[in-house]
Amino acid sequence: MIINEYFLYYRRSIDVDSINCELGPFDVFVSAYNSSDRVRTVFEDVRASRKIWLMHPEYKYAPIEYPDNGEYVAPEERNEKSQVEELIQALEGTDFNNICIDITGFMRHVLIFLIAKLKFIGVKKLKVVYSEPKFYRSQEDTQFSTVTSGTVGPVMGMAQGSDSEGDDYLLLGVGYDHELIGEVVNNKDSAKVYPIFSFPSLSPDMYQQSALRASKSGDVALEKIWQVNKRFFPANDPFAIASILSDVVKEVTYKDPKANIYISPLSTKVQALGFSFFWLKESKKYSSSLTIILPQCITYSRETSSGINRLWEYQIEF
Amino acid sequence: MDNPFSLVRASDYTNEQINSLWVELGENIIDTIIEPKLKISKFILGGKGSGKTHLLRYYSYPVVRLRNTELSGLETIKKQGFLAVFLRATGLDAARFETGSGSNLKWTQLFAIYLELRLAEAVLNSLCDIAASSDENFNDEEFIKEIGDGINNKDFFECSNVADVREWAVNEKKKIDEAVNNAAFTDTLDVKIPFSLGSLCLALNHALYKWCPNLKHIPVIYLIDEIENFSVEQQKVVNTLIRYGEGYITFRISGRLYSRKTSKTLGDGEENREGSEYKITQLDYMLRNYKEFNNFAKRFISKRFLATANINEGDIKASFDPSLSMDVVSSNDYFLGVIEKLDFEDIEALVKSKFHNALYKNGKSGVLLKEVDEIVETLTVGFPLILQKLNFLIFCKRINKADSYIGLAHWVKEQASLHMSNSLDSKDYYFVSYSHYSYDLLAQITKESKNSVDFPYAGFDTFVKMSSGNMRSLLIILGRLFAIAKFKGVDFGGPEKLSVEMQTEAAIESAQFLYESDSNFGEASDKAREAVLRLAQLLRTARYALNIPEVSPITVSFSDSDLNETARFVLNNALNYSFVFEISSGRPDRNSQRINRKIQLNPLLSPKWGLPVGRRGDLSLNAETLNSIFDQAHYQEFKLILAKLRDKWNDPFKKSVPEVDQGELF
Repeated sequence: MIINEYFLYYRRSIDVDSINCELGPFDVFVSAYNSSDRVRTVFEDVRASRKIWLMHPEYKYAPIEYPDNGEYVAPEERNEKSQVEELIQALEGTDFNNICIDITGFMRHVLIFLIAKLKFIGVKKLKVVYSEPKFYRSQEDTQFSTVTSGTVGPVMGMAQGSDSEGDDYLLLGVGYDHELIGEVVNNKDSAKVYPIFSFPSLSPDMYQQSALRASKSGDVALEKIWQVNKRFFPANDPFAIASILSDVVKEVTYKDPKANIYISPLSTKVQALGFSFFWLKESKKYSSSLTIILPQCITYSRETSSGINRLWEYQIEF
Repeated sequence: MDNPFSLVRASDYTNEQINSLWVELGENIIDTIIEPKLKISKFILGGKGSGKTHLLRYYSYPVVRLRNTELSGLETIKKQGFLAVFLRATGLDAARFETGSGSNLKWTQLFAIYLELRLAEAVLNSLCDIAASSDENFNDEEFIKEIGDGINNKDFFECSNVADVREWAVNEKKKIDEAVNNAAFTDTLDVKIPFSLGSLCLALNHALYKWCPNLKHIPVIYLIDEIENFSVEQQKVVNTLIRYGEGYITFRISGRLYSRKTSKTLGDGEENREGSEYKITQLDYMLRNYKEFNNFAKRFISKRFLATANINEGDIKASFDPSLSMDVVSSNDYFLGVIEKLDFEDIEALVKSKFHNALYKNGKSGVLLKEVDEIVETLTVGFPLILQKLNFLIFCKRINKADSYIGLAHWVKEQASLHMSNSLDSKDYYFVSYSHYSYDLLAQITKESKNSVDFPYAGFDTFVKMSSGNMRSLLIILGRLFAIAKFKGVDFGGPEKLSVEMQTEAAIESAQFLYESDSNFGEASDKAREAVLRLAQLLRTARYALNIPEVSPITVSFSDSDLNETARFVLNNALNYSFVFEISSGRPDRNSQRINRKIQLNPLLSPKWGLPVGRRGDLSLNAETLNSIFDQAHYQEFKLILAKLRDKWNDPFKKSVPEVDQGELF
């Protein structure tokens, strides 16, 4: 029997009422600051020698609004490399094997690059937490990214050149942001699209909400292929996401060995983590090329959700 | 039966389908657009769905080859007279050459080399196919020698044939991919540039001749799609190649209307000039004015329908005319068929009261209530609803020229009676007014109905008009219509015609789709969308006013110099994303005789706001109104201006409207 490697990674849920008992202690706890309860609650309750807020410039917090319950790193530039480098610099001298990152408030491009960068600098394992919201504030009308530049491009360091003889394929992690889906699809309008929906979703209603929003994604959502190529993966398990992504990539590569495969995680941060993890594990495995692409966000909503439903801990092992 | 009109993106067309699609339009038209024999490069600009990608791909070697399966690759090229290769700009993921560390110049150079390798790879793919399909002896040695002059890379000189050169190009490309990836982690761009700008892709034409003397006069054409995906610096690279390649290598480059971010070249930044280094064709304009579009559309739709329908079932005719499947809005008996379906509490009272109040409140001093009652009665009694409205409108329009209100009312009544008895000449004022305003007035009546019925959009010809020469737009409407009909259990193409209501629903959904879902390109499209909403609000206010200021208001005109910088940028984006179209003829200003710009709302969007699809009159905008529409910073002013205009257009008897520049507004 062949065991799927992704099923062997460790993940567990943590009782949200006993975070301070169950989570940590860590040398450093890093979280991206925004105005959601779930981000702040975890940051306050976790046990760690150092707690660092990453202040993403996309949230547009003025210095006067910065939290005073921890250190903070506040990059000025939006690109993932600058943001991650500033964070890594702040972590200098730390034992990277005992840090924990709360990915809940992270910008996707920074999160994806951070995971790759940590692997690059030799981190072997890493604890990551993600808190699920009870609900999104405006249900299917919740606005996440508020302004994008219109540029869609690879996450830095995670592009593989396309083969001029191969067709393009776009494996799209479908979330609530139909504008983002539209942007990515417009950018790769030569691509055959595989929409991958989060199912089971974080809560039962969220699948319906994301499906409703995704239906506004432009011509791609009207095409037969949107139904025919539809796939699912759970919203809260990065390893299961990586595993399913692996299956779809295998399927595409089997059909078209010269395929240029673009993967774009536009749903939960767990999905972004799963995509990043998958790319790091498997990008050199196939004859096809694999590139993670995202639309470039200029601003992002500070508060999109209410409450904490569940808290998850994942152990990433490179 | 699957939806025969479902959208198919350019990507989903196979090379075979590309060929069959353009058969309908004809090679001559495509030649006119692409001009493959032109000695300078050409930009082909147009909106989404204008067929740019298809046109370029139509001339690319693999597609040309499929049109000539009986010939070898070499014979195909000789017959065609050129060798063209296609490259989609998005395939380069050019953004990764923009965000790296180190000097920008180095990244731009690297991008240039990468672009050349991609272009060369496409040509080499074609040459490999030509070599494989022909018995001719090709001189690989000379080919390599010719290119090798500009190459500074030892691996290259290990190549012994075109296939090896192709392999070499692919490997060099991979090295760059890897170096770019590594630079993100190491901060060092560690790659050796194998040749200088232009040394590879511009050398291929001469090398081609050395490879096969039979190909002496065969030009190489690079077809680059979606140039908007290149940054300013990257477009300078393309401009530089255009400049250096003049005469023997040319480009055909497609993009949206404002996709060209610069005409400068690298280095000293010299500019390429239109007419000298390149030409421009505006595809949208060409298609909008293509006289045969209606027939082309009918054939295209019919073909799509028949291809999807199972013609063996026997219920589908071998030919299919989509216009016969759709009900149309009947204007007989003054739109009685439409108006009968409306639910009014007391529409006549409503219509009358608006006019009555306006006249009584603001009319000439001394107009008594009794006199107003008489005027209203004169203009309405015995006339169908639409003529009552027209009578009010004509009364409003002629009031300044009339000696007496009562006299004018009786003249209008007389004209209306003559119209009803078909006694007017087609040039008579009343007759012309009816033909101009009847649909605007019908729109008002539908809006005033209790059941809020939508203004009807129906009939194949209406949908063709709404599509403005863009086949994709037509497919959007028909695709929706097919889905709605199917949901309601009506067969598209069956014996029962598709109702006006069903068609209207499809038109509204299509407008919603175009406005909300089809144009997400980030901040630029968001701002353009907001501006178009304001423009539509202005047009709607005009169309639904008591004194409609212009017939069929869907167009505005203004002086280009009145646009502030932001407004100009937003307007360009609105044009770019096809929210609005530019009418090339413009409109002479009434005072200065200067030609003003004329902008029309994309009629596919009209149903969203109950606006007309046909263009006739245009609202002339002064600088203040113009910038309040296209510059978000003036949003508060826009609200104020709109309120004043609403007031003015619904209160035609008011003597003055302060702070509105009436002279320039109309």
